[in-house]
Amino acid sequence: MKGTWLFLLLAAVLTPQTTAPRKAPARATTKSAQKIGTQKSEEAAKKAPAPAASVTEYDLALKIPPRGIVKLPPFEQFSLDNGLRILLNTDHELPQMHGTLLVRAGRIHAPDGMQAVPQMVADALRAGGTRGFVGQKFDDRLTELGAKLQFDVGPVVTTIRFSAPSASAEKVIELVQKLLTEPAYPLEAIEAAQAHVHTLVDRRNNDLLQSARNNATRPYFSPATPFFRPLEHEGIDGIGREELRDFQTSWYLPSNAVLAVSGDISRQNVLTLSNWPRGTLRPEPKLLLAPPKATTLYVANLNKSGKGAFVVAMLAGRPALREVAAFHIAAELFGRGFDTAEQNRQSSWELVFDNHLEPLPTGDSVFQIRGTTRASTLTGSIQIAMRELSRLTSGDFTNQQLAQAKDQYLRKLAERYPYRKEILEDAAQLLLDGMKPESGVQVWQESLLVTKADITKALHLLKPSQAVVSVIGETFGQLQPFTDLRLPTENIETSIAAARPVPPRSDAAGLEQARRWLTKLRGAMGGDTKVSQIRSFRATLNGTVRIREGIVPVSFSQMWIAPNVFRQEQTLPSGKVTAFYDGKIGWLSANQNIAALLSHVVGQLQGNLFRLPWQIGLSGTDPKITLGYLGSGTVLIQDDSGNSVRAFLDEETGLLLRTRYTVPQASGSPTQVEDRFSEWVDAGAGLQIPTRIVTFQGGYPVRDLKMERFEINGNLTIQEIEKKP
Amino acid sequence: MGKFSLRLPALAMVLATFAGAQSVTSGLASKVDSFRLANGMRFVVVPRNNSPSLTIRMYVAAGKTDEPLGKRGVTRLMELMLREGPLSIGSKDVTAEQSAMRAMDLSYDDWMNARQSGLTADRHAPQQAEIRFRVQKERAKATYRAGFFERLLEQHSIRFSSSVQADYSAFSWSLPSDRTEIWFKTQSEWLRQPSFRGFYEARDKLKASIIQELDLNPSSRLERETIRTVLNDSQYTAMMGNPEELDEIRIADAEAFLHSAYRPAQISVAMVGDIDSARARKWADQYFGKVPAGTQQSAPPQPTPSQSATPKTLEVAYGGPRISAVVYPRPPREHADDAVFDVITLWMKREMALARETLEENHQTNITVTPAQPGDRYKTVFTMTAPVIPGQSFDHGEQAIQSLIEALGKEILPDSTLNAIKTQTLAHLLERMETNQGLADLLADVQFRSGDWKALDSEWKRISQVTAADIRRVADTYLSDEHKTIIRLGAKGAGR
Repeated sequence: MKGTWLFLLLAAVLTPQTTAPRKAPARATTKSAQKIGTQKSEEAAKKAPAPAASVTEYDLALKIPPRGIVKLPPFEQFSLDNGLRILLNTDHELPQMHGTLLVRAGRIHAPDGMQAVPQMVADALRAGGTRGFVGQKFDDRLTELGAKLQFDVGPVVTTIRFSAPSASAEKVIELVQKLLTEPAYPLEAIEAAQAHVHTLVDRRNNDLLQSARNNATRPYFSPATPFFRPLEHEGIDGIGREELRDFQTSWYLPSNAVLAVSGDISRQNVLTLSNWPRGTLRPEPKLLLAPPKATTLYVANLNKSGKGAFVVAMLAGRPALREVAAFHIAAELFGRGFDTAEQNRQSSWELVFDNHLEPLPTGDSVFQIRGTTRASTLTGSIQIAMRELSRLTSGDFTNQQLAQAKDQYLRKLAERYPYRKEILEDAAQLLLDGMKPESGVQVWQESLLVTKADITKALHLLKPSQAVVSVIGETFGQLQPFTDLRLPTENIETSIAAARPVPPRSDAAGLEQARRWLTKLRGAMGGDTKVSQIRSFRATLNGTVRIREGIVPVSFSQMWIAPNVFRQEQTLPSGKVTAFYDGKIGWLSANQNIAALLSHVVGQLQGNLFRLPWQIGLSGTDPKITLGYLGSGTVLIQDDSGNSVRAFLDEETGLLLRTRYTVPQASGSPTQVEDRFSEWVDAGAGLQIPTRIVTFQGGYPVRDLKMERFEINGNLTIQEIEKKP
Repeated sequence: MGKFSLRLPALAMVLATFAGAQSVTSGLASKVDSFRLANGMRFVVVPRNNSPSLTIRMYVAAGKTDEPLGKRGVTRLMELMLREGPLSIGSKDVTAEQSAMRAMDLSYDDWMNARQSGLTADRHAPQQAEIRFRVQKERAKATYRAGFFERLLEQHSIRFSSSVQADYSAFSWSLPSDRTEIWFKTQSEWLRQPSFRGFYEARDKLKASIIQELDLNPSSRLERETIRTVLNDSQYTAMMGNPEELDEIRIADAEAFLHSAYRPAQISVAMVGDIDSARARKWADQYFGKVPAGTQQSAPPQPTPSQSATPKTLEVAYGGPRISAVVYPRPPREHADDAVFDVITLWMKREMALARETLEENHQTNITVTPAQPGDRYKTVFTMTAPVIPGQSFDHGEQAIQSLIEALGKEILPDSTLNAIKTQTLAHLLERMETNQGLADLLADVQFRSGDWKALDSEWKRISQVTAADIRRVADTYLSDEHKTIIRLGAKGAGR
């Protein structure tokens, strides 16, 4: 049989021995699950001896109709003068509308070396709002209109989804149009976008199957292609407003987008999008397939509580609609023919398949056999998968299994497309890809007609000699070694490199500006002499802090002796924590226990010292400090230990308004924090210090402190500071 | 400024235009088919044919308040028994199974009688009776295939969920539309002739679970204490049985309860999705039409209010997390002020979201507001709870709650705030109506309460017509110190 050669070719490299295609397992599956057309009375059913023991054979005495199919809702297709294509489905069932704007502005469109840009644009647009409604005001406006708006960035397309009661429809669409034409991109939104992307990088290994999929797709493109390269921390902090605007104006254009809108809405309501200028579209990036010359195994070692994932990917070319449908059904056929031993193995290995025919941005498709399993059984799971593929390719499955697979596929389809808006969005995606909007539904309709021959024909399109096999999980402790697969192997790095600090963009003029502003700050604080003569400081601060359960009172006692000896006591209702650091070593005391400082706590304390207001002022005179000027009284200050702060100075007085910085954590990305200073007082002899500090995270205040007592250059001693509780 | 205030930052500058009392059902009216069978069972059908799936929601007017005296817990048992399916499915021999169930009941009676006889005649009698009961249970198991019905539903991709509340029991199914007739057939058969497989095991597990809930779950414990003290003149006292009452429930009791409380006139079904109205009517008649009308159960006894005054502060020792709760009695849902309580709840949630902008001490942004607890069919309570912060006393949360109440009574709510709340409410309502599950839930609920699905519009209109003056009036009338009771769960040294 034709299928045998495929199996032998693949099996020869994946298993030590070849086996003949298996026969269908001998199980009582000759009867169909539902006896279509059989009619029995209820009484007869009750009197019938020995009712069927198996649920699959149980006769409900009902005629089950054929499974229905998802239907495309009626829609009108038209284009605006600016090139925006629109699919409009008007339905007055509810006074509600939904819109999905698909824009070809995905990860493949990222500029070289700036993979984070597409995601950052989406985040900064959403959080930043328009020039008319900036930041929180934009959110408030959406709330006022009863509207929702969200962005999702994919490999090729960014999807903007919005909804609102129909009374607000026109205003919401206008808001979306303004977002696309007059985005605000406030600094806070850009920095929040940076923080979000850093978090995405930290989490990139969380989804094993997704990682395996990415690792299985990447080898199909040349190394020069940024597509599917993992996102890294490096470079994110160097992306600013200019880069984001450039990306938006290059790709977020009406001719590069399709809008699907449904509900209680008319053509008239969407005409405001005509005000979205045409712009100049960049040429699409050229993505050339460069499949591996031979099937290769890519191994990524990652400890995830004994879990593992694998993908076996094979190019499927550009299949026709029926073949696409056949692949979808084939994906569901996996495992239905397992004999008892394989079923047991599948269960004990926790092997779950999630196969799929994936489109590539080049228009080709790749069939991915993928699954999650126990990490120790990756090799065995792949072998099972390949045997199953071989079996299906040779047509070794029953019509009943085919019917069950179709049923399952159609059920999943109904779940994936429960409502008009999802179906219309899919049609819009097809239009954006240059296909007919109806072709998705045509594939679903074709799936009803798929036969065994269709399945085997489709599977024969696969190119196993150019397969990519990707595994991820803890690769030690395998029940069977990967070498049993007899494939050339490449290791994939899974560790996530930290980013180096981004040096501020400073030319001589910028440096001069930064120094001038810091001079102004020192002057506002009392002058160079007074500020440089601050040698010690003691203060008590009282206020409130937000913890998980609510807002509680907190007090701090801080002591500092230049240059780096520091003590802080924090008292909450639940207890007191004391930290000491002398520039080299330190300790932390809590609940009567004393322990050495962990590295992230050292980082936090070093940061505290770096950001003392007078130290910020003095950084303008320290040659070891790197300065940059960011405009509007904002100075970037960095040292060579990784400490960095943005200091925002009052443009009139020169006093410090706020500082923005990151705080290292025990794990994960550092936290973005902002301190706001106010209530400056004379600390004595004309020296000004701020006595109120409010700390913000994520845009919300988390701590509000008032300095109740303070002493500068008093009689503080090192012995007092370093004394253990 | 840091206290809760009736301001809307920046937004106050923008006059929010509110769409007014627009209809949410006018577009549905031409699609919806509602009908009633001769036996009283009601149906609402909404065809939505884009995707071949269907959601069915069934409301039964039998909640925890409707349980017979001395048989508390029977509604939750019925919920479990529905999962076992009808007698006709999964049985190896229907007659044998029925006999086995009857024998189990008799054997259980023997055991209970033997226990109550105490140490009189034969002191081994109870033990022997228990053994006989266990033997009878094993014999019963042999007459059916355990879990068969659940597996059958799974085989047909029919998903099922349920919940029993104070005022009603609700069941939901989500299924491929080509399996709709299966639902009609199997559920109607269950109403006519349920199986009671695993009854005694389920009953014992339920008892253990209720005991644990009362000891550790703050919501369950709060509910109980509220009924005992504040709602002791309300019909909700009918929920105050002890878990031990479950020991008194036999299969025959459950069956009797089913035929009275689950009779067709007590049931309202909403079907939303890929369904044809004419076929739904046909099947409803063909299958559920056969369910006997049943007999009305006797009205639950009127509660005897406690003679003692409602305490102002109640301290309760229990094993779960410490919670401060402030409760205010309020009228049931049918009262004209019901919508006002809903708007007050939304305002409070909104204020807490806005309060994230400040760090005022005694602010607590994790206060949970429940407009009606445990239900809203009878006189009920408006409840606000706050977890006790480690290291803090109960006062802290209570003061935060008090701040919120005081803010409500201090100033008249600006139109812009009220309109924003109403717009958000409308948006949420429409979001729910958009999903088959959400619409089925809403329609079944409204149909169940008022007998007419179109009342969904009037319910929304009641909210849209609430004024700031209404809010002030309700706050003054109900949410005042004289009506308030504080319940401290987890207070040390308190008696049970």
